[in-house]
Amino acid sequence: MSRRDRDLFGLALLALTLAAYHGIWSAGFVYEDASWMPFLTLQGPMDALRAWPWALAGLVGHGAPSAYHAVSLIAHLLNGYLFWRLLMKWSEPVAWIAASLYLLHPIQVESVAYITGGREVVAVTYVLLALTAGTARLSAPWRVLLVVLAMAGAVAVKSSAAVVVLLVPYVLFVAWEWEVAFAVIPFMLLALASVLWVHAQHVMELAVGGSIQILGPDTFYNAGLTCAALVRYLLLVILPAGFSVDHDWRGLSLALPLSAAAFVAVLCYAGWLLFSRLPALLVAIGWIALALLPRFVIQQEDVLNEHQMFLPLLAVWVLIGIGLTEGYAALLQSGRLPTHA
Amino acid sequence: MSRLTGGLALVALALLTASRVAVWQSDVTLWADAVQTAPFKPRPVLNLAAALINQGDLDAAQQLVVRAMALADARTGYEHLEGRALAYSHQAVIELRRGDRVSAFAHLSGALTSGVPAVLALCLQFHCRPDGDPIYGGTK
Repeated sequence: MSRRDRDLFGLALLALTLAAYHGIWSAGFVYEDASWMPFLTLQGPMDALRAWPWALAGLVGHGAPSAYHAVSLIAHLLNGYLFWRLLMKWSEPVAWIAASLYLLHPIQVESVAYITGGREVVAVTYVLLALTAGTARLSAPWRVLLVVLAMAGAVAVKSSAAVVVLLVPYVLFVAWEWEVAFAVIPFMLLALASVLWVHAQHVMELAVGGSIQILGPDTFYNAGLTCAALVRYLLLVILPAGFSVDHDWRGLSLALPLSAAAFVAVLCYAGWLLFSRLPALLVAIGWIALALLPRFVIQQEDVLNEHQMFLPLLAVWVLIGIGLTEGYAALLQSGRLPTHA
Repeated sequence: MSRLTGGLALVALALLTASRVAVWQSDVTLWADAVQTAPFKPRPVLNLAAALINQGDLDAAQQLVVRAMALADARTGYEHLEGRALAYSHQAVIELRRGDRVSAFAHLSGALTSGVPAVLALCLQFHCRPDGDPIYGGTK
């Protein structure tokens, strides 16, 4: 793609995303926004790393919801650019397809159009910044420092983003950035320990209240429900109809979660078998599994919401990009498509 | 041709996204959509009831609370407790708005007897905002 085509396509993508999300400017605070607002404001200097985007929005917008929506949309656009830039190092068609899907797929709406869900978007900004820094052409100490800072930002914004402790070194290993990956691990373990320390009491309170369970008697049933949710969201990616802020997972008959768990197990096994031919498939499955790992260990009444798929879905966008690119190339080779197309 | 197909697919995705963004305009639009997707789950029905109380549509809210109580009774575990406790406390708010404090007190007592501490804490969080509004984010 020429530089001019690239600019034009980038601008078209920007315009389409802004048009798709134009409704957020008239949207108000909804659902748990009121409860989460204190978390999104500066209450002390220690909150700066976590809350600065929303605190700034609150100052500029005088508390209007549109200002907080702007944080999510700006972060979403920035993420699209960072995601595209990271993938461009590998494959241009995959980068364009994955970034387009990331920006425009309706399954992303729960994160981008919901102020509280915006924490997912900002956490992913930090994750992508960490990966960008980890693969940048800088000296190793600088890269380690920037990766650690970005990771700290992600964990501060959303405790469940502590999975980045696993995800970022995982991707850096896959990208052969071993030096940085090894150097980052002690800092990440420190971050994980601090999250556990801060939240241990809260998690125990919720566990006693019955709203969450840490490896209890219903672990396998709950894991099956999480698999059912995962399969449902993967289907929603392909057939985007039937989104909801509150899916009825516990209304499912027992057979469905069990079938979903079996399907996920078969998918993982297929990824393992296909590793030599399609290494990206196994890498993507690894990303999704690591990103969802806390959901299997600490199980909540709310099984798995759409906005909690924001981070795992990054791998799915890449996989679709690979699938479409490889499929198109195969069709061209077979002569079923005109080569000038 | 491939670019045209890709472009059309992206426009279609943008349109679907725009229609989904419209659902997130307010609590009423959000929970009305959720009730359509999960008609047998108590929480979306209760949250739609709360949004309607906020709008002052007490009759419609009451019908939903009755429906939610029946749905909660068909559930087990946390969903059952949460559904019943919230249905009682929503009904209490409806009675308070109608000026019937005696009925409201009775329903709050129902909420107290139906829940575990975490569920009751949820009810308090739901109804007792610092600004004094009984339902989050709303106006009296």
